[in-house]
Formats: sequence, C-alpha cells, structure tokens
Amino acid sequence: MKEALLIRRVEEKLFELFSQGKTHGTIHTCIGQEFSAIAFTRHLVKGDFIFSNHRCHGHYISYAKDYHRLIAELMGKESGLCAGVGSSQHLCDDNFFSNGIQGGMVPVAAGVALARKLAKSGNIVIVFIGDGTLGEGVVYETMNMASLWRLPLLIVCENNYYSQYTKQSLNLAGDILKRVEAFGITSYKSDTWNLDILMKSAASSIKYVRDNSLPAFHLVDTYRLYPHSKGDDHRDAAELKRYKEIDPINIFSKEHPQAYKEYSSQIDSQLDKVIKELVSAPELDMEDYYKDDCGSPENTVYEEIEQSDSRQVELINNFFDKAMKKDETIIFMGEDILEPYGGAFKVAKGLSEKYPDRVLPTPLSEASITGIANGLAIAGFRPFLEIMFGDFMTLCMDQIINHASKFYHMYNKKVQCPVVIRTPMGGRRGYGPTHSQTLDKFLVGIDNVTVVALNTLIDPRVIYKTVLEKEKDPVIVIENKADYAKRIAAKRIKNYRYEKSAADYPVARLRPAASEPNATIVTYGGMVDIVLDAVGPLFMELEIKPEIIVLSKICPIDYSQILISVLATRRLYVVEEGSCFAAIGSEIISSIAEMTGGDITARRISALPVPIPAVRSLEDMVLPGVDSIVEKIKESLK
Amino acid sequence: MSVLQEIKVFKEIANEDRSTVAKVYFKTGDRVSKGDAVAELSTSKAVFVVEVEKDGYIEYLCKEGEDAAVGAVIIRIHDNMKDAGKDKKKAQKAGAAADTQFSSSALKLMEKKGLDKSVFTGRDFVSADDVRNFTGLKSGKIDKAKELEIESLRDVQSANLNCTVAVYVDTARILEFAGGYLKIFTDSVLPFVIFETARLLKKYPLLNAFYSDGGIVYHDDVMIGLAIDIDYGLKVVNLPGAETKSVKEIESDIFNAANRYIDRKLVAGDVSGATFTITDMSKEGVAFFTPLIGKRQSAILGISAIDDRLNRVTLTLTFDHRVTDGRHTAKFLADLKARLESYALPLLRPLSPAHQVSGDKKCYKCMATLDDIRKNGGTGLLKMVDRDGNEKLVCELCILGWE
Repeated sequence: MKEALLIRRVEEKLFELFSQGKTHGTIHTCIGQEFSAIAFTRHLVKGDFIFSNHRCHGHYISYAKDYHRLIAELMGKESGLCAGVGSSQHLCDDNFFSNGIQGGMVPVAAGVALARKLAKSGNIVIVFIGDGTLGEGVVYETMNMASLWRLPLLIVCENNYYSQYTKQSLNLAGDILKRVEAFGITSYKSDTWNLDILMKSAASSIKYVRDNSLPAFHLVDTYRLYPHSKGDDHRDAAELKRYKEIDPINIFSKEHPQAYKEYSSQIDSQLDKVIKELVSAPELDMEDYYKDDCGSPENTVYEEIEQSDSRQVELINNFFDKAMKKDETIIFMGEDILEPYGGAFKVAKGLSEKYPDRVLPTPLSEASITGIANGLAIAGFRPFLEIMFGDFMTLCMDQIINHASKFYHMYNKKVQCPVVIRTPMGGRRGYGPTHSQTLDKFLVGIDNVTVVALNTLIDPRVIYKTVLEKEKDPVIVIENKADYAKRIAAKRIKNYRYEKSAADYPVARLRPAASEPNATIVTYGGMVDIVLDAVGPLFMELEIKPEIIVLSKICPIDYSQILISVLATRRLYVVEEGSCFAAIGSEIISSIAEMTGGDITARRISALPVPIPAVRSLEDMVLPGVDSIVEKIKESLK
Repeated sequence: MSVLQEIKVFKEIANEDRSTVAKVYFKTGDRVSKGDAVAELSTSKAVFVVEVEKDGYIEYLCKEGEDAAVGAVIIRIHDNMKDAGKDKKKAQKAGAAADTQFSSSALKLMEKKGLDKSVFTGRDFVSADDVRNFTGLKSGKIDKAKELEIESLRDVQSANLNCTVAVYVDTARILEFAGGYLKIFTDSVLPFVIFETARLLKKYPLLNAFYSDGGIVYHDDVMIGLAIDIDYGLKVVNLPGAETKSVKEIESDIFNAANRYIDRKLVAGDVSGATFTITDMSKEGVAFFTPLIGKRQSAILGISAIDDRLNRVTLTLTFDHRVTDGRHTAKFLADLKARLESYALPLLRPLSPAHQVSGDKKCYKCMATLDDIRKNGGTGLLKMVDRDGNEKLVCELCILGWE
C-alpha cells in the first residue's frame, strides 16, 4: 500500500509541478493504475527488463524504488534519468526503457527477450501496453513471433477502456483475449481492485513465462483517475466518481485515515525537500548533449583498384560466413533466408546450415523484425537484418527513425543500438513500381544512422568489415539487385586510372590516364556502371573528360574528395537512380555550393518523378541512363 | 594444367634485338591446332609466319603492332582454356592504357587538316582543341621496318666520313648488246653492272670490307646485294655467286629475287650478309644520287637514269673514307666504266654456216657459247693458254674485259 501511495503522491506532485509550469512538456499520470505496476515489478529479478510507454512513471518508481531522478528528469535537470532529454515518456534506467510511440517498444522488448533467451540467462522481459495500443499492427506481428519463437516475453495490457479520450467501444472490435488466444499465447486476467488476486495472478504469469520460456499476455483491467495528460477530463463525471470511490488507495484513506495521513505526510515532506533542491539544479549543457563533430579526416591515400574473380553476392556471403564464425554475437535475420533458398538474392546461401542458431528466418513483418533487431542490438548482439526489397523499407521507418535513431541521445547516451539493416534497391529488371525503387533519399539524414551503399568498384567485404568493427550506432547498407552478379571492377573504360582511397568507407576515384579532367561526376551504388558507360559518349560528343568520384558512404558524406575535384573542374554532376527532389544530389550540390561560393556549373541527374513502369522501354526512360546523362550535361554546357 | 609449347622471338638477323608482332591471327583463349599460323613477326628485312606445333589453347603474351625483344616468350600453348586466359587481368589493365580516344569534333578537324591518328599516339584523350594546338609537323608513323633500316644505316653513316664519286658511262653499245643478249631487262645495264662489279671486287678488296672498331674487316667472299624497293619497303636481296655466273644467269637471279620480294617469300638468309650493295634507280628517272652505305660494308654503287640523248648513265659510288679513299674508288669506277663500255657489237661479218661449231665450246670466263657469240655478231673464241698452262677458250669480250 505504501508503495502505491508513494506512486500516487509522486504523480500528484508531478501534476502539480506541471500545472505550476515547473516541468517542460507534457505529463501522463498513472493515478488509479498504481497497483498494476507494483504487482509485476516485485517479481522481477536481476537481468530482467521492463519496457513501458508514455504512462510509465508508476512502472519506473516501482522498478527503481526511487523517484528522485524521475522528478529531476521531468524538471529538466541534468541529474534526471536522461538529463532532461527524454522527460516523461522517454525514460531509461538500467534495464528500464520507455518510449512514446504506441506499440513501438513491443517488438524491441521481444528482441531483448530473444537476446536473453539466446544468452540462456533465464531472464524475462515485461512490456506494458494499454488497450489503445491494441490498435497497432506491430503488437500482433510481435505476438506472432513471440509465440513462434517461444520468447520469454510478458505483455501486460493495462486496460483502462480509453485511448486518450476515445472510448474503447469505438476503437476495439471483438475480444481482447481471443486475439491473444489466436496466436497460441496463454493469457491471464486481473484488475486493480481485487488486489490479492492481482498479486497472485501477476506472480503466476511471471512464473509461467520464466519457467517455460514462453510468452504470456496479462490483461489488467483498471481505470485512470486523472486525465490522459493535461487539461480537462472530458469523461463522464458520474463514471469518474464511481471509480474514485472504488479506488483502493481512496478506500484505504477512508478506512485508515490515520495511517494514510502519516504515510502521506512522510512522503510529502521528502518530496518537497527533493523538489526544493532540484529547483536550482543545473540543466544539461549543450556541449555535453551534442557537439558539431567534423569527424576525423578521412584517409586519402589512394591505391589501384583490382578486379576480383568472385561476384559481389559471393563476396558478401563470404563476409558473413567468416564473420559469423569469429563473432558469436552476429545474428543474420530476414525473410526466406533458410537453406536451400538462401534468401531472395542468395546472400544467405549456406549460412543457416553452418550457423543454425544464429540465422533467424522471420515471418513477413518488416516493422516488427526491425524492432526485434533493435532489441537484439541494445541487448548486446550484432543483428544484421535483411529487408528483402528496398521498397519494403517503408514498413521499417518507425523502428528506424523513432527507435534505433533515438535511443542513444534520448536515453542520454546510456545505450547504443548497433543494428545493421541491409536491403537491395534498384530497377532495370522490370519488377514494376513497388519492387524497383531507389528510396535512398528517405533513409539519409536520420540522426545517428549511417547509410552506406555498395558499388561495383569496391569489395563489399571492406565496407562490411568497417560496419562490423567500427560502428556502434545504426547502419543501413544499400545493396543493388543488378550488381549482385557482377565482379568488382570488371568494367574498364579505356585510358582511365582506377583508384580507391584507403578510408574506412573507400571512395573510388576514376580519372583520365593523362589528361586533366574537365568535369566532376559524383555517383554511388547501382549507377556506377551506367556512369562508366557514359564516359565514352561524353568525350566523343561533348569532349567532357570526367573525374568520377564514387562514394561508399552517403550519410554522412565526406565532401573533401568531391571538393578537391570540383575546385579544379568547376563542373559538378551528381548521378543517382532515385528521383530528383530533395535527394542525395540536392544535398551534395548545396553543400559544395556552400563550400565553393557557388561559382560552379552543377546538375542533378536522376529518375523522373513518376513510379517506375515495368515495361522495358518506359523503365529505361524513367530511370537515368547514358542518354540522359549526356543530355543533361550537354544542356549544362550551353 | 601445363604449357605445351612456348614460342620465343628468334634471332635470325644479326644486329637486330627485336621484332614487331605484325599480326596475330587468334585471340588469347582460342583453340589452335598443330600447324596453324598464329602470328606474323616482322623485321626490317622480312616477315616471318609463326606456326604452332601442338594442339591446345593459345595465350598471347604480346600485342599486335608492338615490339617483342629477341628471346622473349610471345606465345604459349596451354592444355586448358583457363590457364590461357589467366593473365587477362594484366592484359586488360595494360589494354586499358592503349587506344587513344578521339572526340567526334576532333576527328572531323583532323580529317580537314589531313592529320593521321598516329600523330597522337600515347595520348589518352584528344579533343578538337588538342588538334588545333597540335604544332608538330605532319608525319606518318615510322614503321618498324623503317626504324630498323634507319638503325642499320645510321651507324655506318654516323662517322660522317662518307664520300661519293661518280662517273659517266657511255651506254650506246652496251644497250645494243643488251637488247639482243638479255631476255628480260633488255634496256637495263644492271645485270652487266652486277656481273662486272662482282668480279672487280676481287681486285678492289677494300670495297668488299668494312670499318669496325678502329680496324678494317675484309669479307671472305663477295656477296652482291641488290636493293629492291617496290611495295614492301627497301630490302637488299642477296645475289649469291654473281662473281661466277653469266650475265644471263644474273639477269635470271634478279628476276627471281624481285618476284620473291613481291610474293613476300624472302627469308632471313636472303636479306642479310651482303658485302657490297648495288642500287638501280635508272627506272626512276633519277639524274644523280648519293646512296647510303649498308651495314658491314664500305661502299655502295648507284645506277642513275640513262640519258637517252647523251647515251650515258651516271654511276655513283658512296664510300666510307675510313676504309678507302677517293683515288682508290675513282680507279675502281674507271675500271668498271671501261669494262662496261667495252660491251660492243663489233662490226663484223656473220660467220658462214659452214664454220658452225658445236655448242659446247664456251668462253671459260663468261660462259658464252659459240651460238651466243654468233648470234651477237661476235667473231668467235680464241684459244689461249692460262697461267697454269691450261688450254682455254675465251671470247673477245672477256679479253677486253680484263687486263
């Protein structure tokens, strides 16, 4: 009871502070639901994890048995859990994580559960959701996988019958537990008014999960006595009154007023003291949060590019084979990757036979498998997730942008998420609008996410080696369908020197053997071979001798080599397979314009802004080719 | 996985350390059979066809149009295709460096200016501006044969102690004689020049020698080389035994040499080892010229055009002053002139048929038979006794022809 009262008093105090303007942002109190948190957290052992949502204070206080840093967090102080960066919704402490995206943490929690299972630690993971969360698809994707893979994951659904201010009857069809049953998951049901039953029930559901290493779903009926966050409560006054009356803490205060008062004043005085101290506490320094890091200068020693006998896909496969042999934390996951198929493009060939417990074939649930990969990553593994077609990356966006990208800063650098997502982009196979795209521009510019693109001039093993050994934050590796079958540096243009820098993500530089180049072409990924084909016609028709700079890393970009070239040629052409607007070319040209004062001729050469048709003749016209490169450059010379 | 045959560049020609791979007939990785002609090697003098001795897969370690050093392996025959293609990487790397690229405006401009692509050899990219800025003289590429020719001539000439003497030779009588006597070159003095020179060289051994390292090296024998230049470049073709053959035989040898030249059937032995060269420019209408001395020789004799009006031809002799001198060579020429001018049809009555003698009597010097002599209006054969006391027959021409 004391615990519950503590939580309530803290929440009430926080709400007060919020009303006084001493907290910045918003607040979601769990007043009325306190016992739910208490019931479960008391059975956790060391190494267990809790994932919560926006209404996480109660869960946190009962887990950490402390509120000091929570209050500091909400007051925006440096001493807060996340130094004020996360505030109410984004808490992190030890094995406690919360995030503000409904359902988003559910697959992450599953990923952590998988990690604990692989580590054979006997730990469980609890994830708290609300009834409103049952609208989110990832919840169901995750339940499917949790059941399939027998993950020690306990989903606690605090059912307070409202999603913000919308009644459940308008949001939820059918029966909650029948959904759970459909996945073959055991369910439990309790409420926060019959406390003994709740306590016993929570104990048994946790025991079930821990002992059997199986998922479970625990539905806890409850009621939120305060509004969703701030402002007025628009719920029915009579309904509110009824629930206030049956609230256990309120009952306790009526039945044991003395004890209640005693406990309350104890808590209150401590609280006040804490708050008083915190008022004058400092906030986080910008310097400590973010420094404009130019990064160390790239190694620009150049060496000749050699041809390889193996095809690109063989080299990638070879990388994983060798890496997984040496590093047992590498997990290779994706759809349809088991032998004998080995993945849609055969990158995983042979791997599932060699490393059966670390090659994870997944159902068709791009969003959740990305979340699970995130969970594996924060729990100490090195997941490499294959998204079958680059076009499907759209389904992964929430997990990339709102989870993987955010964890490091949001949790004040307490965790890192070294997840790697690989996917093939590119058209020219007639696969049509949703299987041919180059969506690179939607994947760049995401905080903390490095984006690299393989090309036919650099051995992919060099790039993957850097990713594995040097990256601690999320990485997206863009591969190209048409390039898989090619050998490195097989296409040789006459009288050109082929060099690559010795940087971690090598830059390839092609220039005429003797003449000075009179234009700079920057490209990356699948367009490299097309640009090489264009060199002959470019000289033949326009007397353009381009220096070709091929980037491996497209976010963030090292501009030094491009700049050096453009300062000499004063002509910059960026060729990419995606469409023009707000794309990689826009980024490069504007950056170079900033550096050079803009006194250059520049053009972006990209796809037309229309879905890619399957019919060959049109596909060739929509996607940039030799003709469009020559045309665009010709027009720029007038 | 083995190499069945290796073909190297052979050294058949003295003083040449490389040959050009003129043509390759296959490409690396192709299957070839024993006896297939797979390449052509050319030197300054001749072209050799390379044939393989084994069935297998060919690997070219050379490129068409490029030189290969004597002793270098240029072709390998492997027993499997993979090995043959193994070094394609390197070949590709090298290949990417060759092959100048021209823009279309450059090509148009070059056509207008009459510039050949070869003037830009070694460049990677040639644009119209490059063509406009090209300040070199119009030149054609010097092919391999010419290069070697220059090399072989240069050493001898470089000492710069060469000199030329000339002499006029009356031609009326010798041409009359040639008209009746010769079958092919009926209006040419060449066969006679060769005939006389070959024999005269015995008397003037300094002209059958050469300067070498401060000393004079005398050739053991006489080998007259005839310069022939029709379509395939200047070549000096040997006429062996000219010093013992008859004029008719020499005429026939000239004809055969020219044909072998035209048919490209000359072999190494044909074009090396001449001790004295004769070059006939009479058909070119050249009034006078100073030929250049060949390697390992000290002199060269040039025949200029026959002046119909004055009935004379100019013979020029270029000589190496380190070996001989003007006086010596002047004497040689005077000698030669006298011999050539002695070819005359004596105004004699034809023999009566009753005095016909058997055809096997011949002049021991020039092998002319009595039939020949009679046909040409000659008197007959004289009986003589030579130094050793042997009885011999000699014709009047030959009596006149030597001291």
